[in-house]
Formats: sequence, C-alpha cells, structure tokens
Amino acid sequence: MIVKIENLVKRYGDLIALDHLNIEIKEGEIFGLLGPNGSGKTTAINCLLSLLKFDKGSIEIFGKEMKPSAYSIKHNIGIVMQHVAVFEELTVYENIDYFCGLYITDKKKRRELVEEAIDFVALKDFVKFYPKKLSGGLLRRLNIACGIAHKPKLIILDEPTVAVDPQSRNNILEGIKRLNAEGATIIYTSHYMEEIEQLCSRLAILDKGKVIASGTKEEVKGMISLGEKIVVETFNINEDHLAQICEIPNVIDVELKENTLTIKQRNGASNLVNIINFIAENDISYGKIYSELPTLNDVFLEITGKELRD
Amino acid sequence: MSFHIFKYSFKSLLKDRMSLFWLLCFPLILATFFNLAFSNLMSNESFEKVKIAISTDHVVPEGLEEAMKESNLFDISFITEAEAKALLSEKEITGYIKNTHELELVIFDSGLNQSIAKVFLDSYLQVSTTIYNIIDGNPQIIQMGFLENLSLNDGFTEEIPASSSMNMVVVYFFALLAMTCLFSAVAGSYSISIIQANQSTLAARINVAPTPKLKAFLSMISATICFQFMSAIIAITYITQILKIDFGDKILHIGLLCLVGCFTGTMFGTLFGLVVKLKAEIKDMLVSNIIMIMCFLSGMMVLQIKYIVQEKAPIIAYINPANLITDGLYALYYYDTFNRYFLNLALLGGLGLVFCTITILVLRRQKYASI
Repeated sequence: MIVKIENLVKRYGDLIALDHLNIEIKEGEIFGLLGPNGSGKTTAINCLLSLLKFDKGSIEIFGKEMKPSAYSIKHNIGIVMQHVAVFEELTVYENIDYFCGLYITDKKKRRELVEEAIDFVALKDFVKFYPKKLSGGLLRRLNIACGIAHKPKLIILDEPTVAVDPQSRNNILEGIKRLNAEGATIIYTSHYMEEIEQLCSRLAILDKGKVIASGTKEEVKGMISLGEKIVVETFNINEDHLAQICEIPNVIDVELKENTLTIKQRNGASNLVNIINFIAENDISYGKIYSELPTLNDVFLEITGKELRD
Repeated sequence: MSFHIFKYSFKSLLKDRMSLFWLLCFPLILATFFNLAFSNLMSNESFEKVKIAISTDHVVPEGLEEAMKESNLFDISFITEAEAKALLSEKEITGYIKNTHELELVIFDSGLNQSIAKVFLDSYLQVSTTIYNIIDGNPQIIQMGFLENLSLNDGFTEEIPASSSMNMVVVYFFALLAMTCLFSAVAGSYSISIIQANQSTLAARINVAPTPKLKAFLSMISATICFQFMSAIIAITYITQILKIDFGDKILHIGLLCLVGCFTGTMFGTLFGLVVKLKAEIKDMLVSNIIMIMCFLSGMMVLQIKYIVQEKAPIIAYINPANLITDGLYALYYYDTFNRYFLNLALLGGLGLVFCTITILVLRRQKYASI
C-alpha cells in the first residue's frame, strides 16, 4: 500500500469534517476522491500531508507513519493545490525551479527536471512570463509543474481543473494519465464525476466526511439498484402508455419531461429491445433513442438522496 | 540555511514593486523632502556677523577693537562718522560706535543684531571700568598677570561639540535611517506568512516540501535582512553623497548599527506576523503604522518628542528600536566616546534576539487545527 488511512477523525468544533475515514491506495493506481463541496476531500488531503492535526486515526504513506517531520516521505510526494500557489514576483521558470529546489539540491539534475516539467505542461513559450500574465489554464499548468517537477512517487491533485477551460482541462487530464503511465501513484480529488470516471482506476465517494462507496467504477455502480437508463425523444405519448411501460419487467421508474422519456431499469437488466418493440406496437412517434449506464451521480443520488453538485 | 530559498527570497523582494517602493524608494523620497524642508533651517544655523562701523573721527579706546575681534561677533569697518551715518541710513551696517565723551552706539532700528551690539558694548564698558578701578587701587596686580586672565567673551561663545559641523537637523535624518532599517518588519511579516501553512496556499505548498520550517524561516529572514541592509546603505549613500548631509566619519559604526537595526526590524515583523491573527494586508498596514509610531517617538516628525519621551518615559526610549537606532547614531555623531553607542547597539541587538527567540519557539510548537 502506498497510502493507508485508518479511522481518521477530524473535528472543527462541533462539526465532524472526517468521520472515521478509511482509505487504502495501491501503488500505480489513480485513486479518485469524489464528493460535493464540503464533503471533506480537501480536509482529508491536508491531514494526509500533515498540514492539519487530526483528532483520531492513523496515516501511513510508503509504509511509514506520516508526520510533519517525516521528510523522507515528503521527499516523494508532489502536491497540486486547489488554488494556484506560486510566487507572483517570479517567472514561470523561476517558480518551477524554486519548488523543485525544495526537493532536489543537485543543480544539474534540477535544471533537467525543470526543463522536463516545462515540456510536460507545454509552457516552453512562457518560461519568462510572470504568473499574472498567464491565462487561467496556463496558470493551472504552472501550478501542476511546480508540484510534479521533482518526479514524486505519489502525486496529490486537489481539484486541479476548477475554473479551467475545456481545452486546458483535457490537457491536464491527459498529463495526469501520462504521469501515472510513468509510474506515479495519483490521488485525484474532484467534484466533477466525469473526470473521476475518465481517469480513476479506483475511487471513494465522500459525503459528510464519510466514505459512502468505494472500489472500482464498476463495483461502485454495482452497489445501487439502478441499471441502464433508456432515453427516448417522443412526441405523442400519453399516460396509458407510461403506465404500460411501468409494467414491463425490470423497469423501476418512468419519467417524462417535455418530450424526453427516461425509463430506468433494474441493475443488470436490459430492456432496450422491449422498449423499441413497445413504441413500434403502439405507433408512438419518436426521434432519438439511446441507452445510458448509471453515472457516479446516480450512485450518489441513490445513497444520499441528493445530487453531487447540490 | 538554504541558499536556494535565500536566493529566491531576495529575488522576490527585488522584483516586488511594493517592496522596492516602501523599503527602498520611500526613504529616499522622504530624505529628499527632508532636505528641501530643512535646507533653510540648516542655512539659518550659520551665524552672520553683525556689521559695525567704528568712527575714526575720535580716538578709539585701547582694547575695544581686539575685544570685538575676539568675540567673533562683528564685522568691523573703520570710517568717518558721516560715512557711517550714510551707511546706517542705507541699512548697510547695524550701527556705529563713536567715542565723543564716552563710548556710544548709534543705531536706527531695534532687533537681534542691534541687541548683540548693545549688550557687547555695555559689557565692555562695565568690564573696562571695573578693570580701571581695580588697577587704580592696586597697580601691582598687572605684574601678577591679571590682564591675561581676563576674558570678555565668556558670555557670547558656545561649547563646540566633537563634530566640527554641529547640526540638529541631522537627527531627522537619523530617524529616517531608523525607519529605513525598521521597515524590514513589513517584509519580515510577509516571510512568516509564507512559512505558516494556515496563512496561504503558497505556505501550505512550502510546508509540504521536505525542508524543515526553521531552515526555510532562517533563509527567508536572512534575505529580508540583506535586502533591507542594502536599502539602508543606499539611503546612507544618498543622504551623505547626494544631499550632502554630514553623518560624521564613523561610517563602519553606522553600518553596524543599521545592520543590527535591520535584524531587529525583521524579527519584530516576524513576531508580529506570527502572533497577530489578521489578514495579511491588515497586518502589513498595522506593522508599517507601528514602525511610523516608533519613528515619531524617536523624533522623526517632531524633534522635541524624542527628548520628551527620554525625559518622561525613559523605558519607552529603551524599548523603542527606532529610538535606539537614532540615539546610537546621535551618540556616534556628537561624542568621541563609544559608550552610549554600544549601549544602544546592545539594547537593539538584545531586542532583536528576544523577538527571534519567541518567534522560533512559537513556530516550532505550531500545529494547525484548521487551514
């Protein structure tokens, strides 16, 4: 195990930010921490990094107890903060060199690593720029370069794509995959379920400081009763039709919003052919028909009764 | 200490426009204003001799001219009474002395110069009459060197200080130099804010790195002290070489005092930044205001305040770093001995060490309950 968090409890007065949190992360995986704002993701990361003291529990990284003076552990960790954390008075190159220099003392090696990091985030044309001259996306890339330049074994990315344009977001996500392919273990926190689904090999969903579901994407989705969703664009469907659809085996819910009919199936069942047949038999006019697998939001919704973005 | 952190901290200060302005340019601007404001005051301090004519129409008493020259108060000319009257009416001279039946001073106006001439002449007459009376009654006293021991100038001369060009205005510049050194507190306060993980994301990132907090702290404050010392050197050079204010010839001692002043200022800022739990901008504003108050109490705005504080509340004078710097420089300038200078230097360094020790102790014990 690269990271082992056991029964971690963190309180802010009466508020329990982390409630007996248990997480294990294996070497080489991209582990996602998913949860709405205020669910405890950043608090968990801060405790993991020994930035925050916690009330109970234990944290081990690389098999050793993590504490503020555990410099040998810290040496192998890279952090990309939620908010951009760079020096405004230093250029792109100087910022990366500064943070890399906190880990690497050998000047020659450091120069190589800084160059590699600049290439990695594609900031070669901006090395002499000051942070305030960079766009939001470029600034995020600089933030990432500062966190990964020293080639850490464990990289923690705390919502690195917040307020980033789609193109930069794709660049960042591709970069994370490359870092993982090069051997780094990644912890990725986000409240964007799409990113977690796209990136992570395993994940934990947090709510109110507790892990409410964890495992691979398939395992997590398998924890709920909901299966595939069939979405039909329809124009002349009536209440009788809806009642009849509800009678079809394994259909658990039917919802009509304007011209969009959503039919939810029980987990493990497939009804697409049955639904197409029903539409044809009842002469219902339709546009698009497609099937959707349940999302992590559906998992969150079923377990907590609220949306991830609430 | 990490040279890497030191290098980049120094670079940050050099590139930060706010730091450059407040820590480097502001003292120079203020020095320029001081120079403009006090240039008249400085020129007024040089005494202009009183122009007096002595009428040659009558015999001048023996010893008068010599006494007047010795007093160093008069610019004497020997002319006829008619010429003297003409010059007096044109206000070319303050007055003239004639010796008809007795010595007389003729003046048209009243004023400081006229008073000086009148007081001198009265004193001369009084002393010379007394001398004649003594000699009349006891002529052998002349052989005992009585006349050599007499001096007319006792009441008119001032004590001359160790420095050849005594100038009270220089104290304002000393206070300005104290302010320059102590402004490092602002940078010190910033340094401590990027050491504490709960102060900013940048600080959190630095705390995650495998660099001991104390090492990072010492590297950052060393950069701050060096930067501020550099500012102080520039300020001293500007004041002495461009503005031509005489700081005396003990430049190494001045430099040492400024270096210790920068250290104490920085440590005051770090301690303030550490114990005061307010937003960074508010802390910066507060710390610079406190420095200005310290400088005010050391006589930067009103010179008399320094003496009032020293007289009424000496303890404040001893714990006010600005006053210790000002007083140390003052002692260097006015006295030949170093006792007072070293006392100020020791107190200043002691204060800095106290601030530093408390900062390190608090910093080492600090664990964050929230970020």
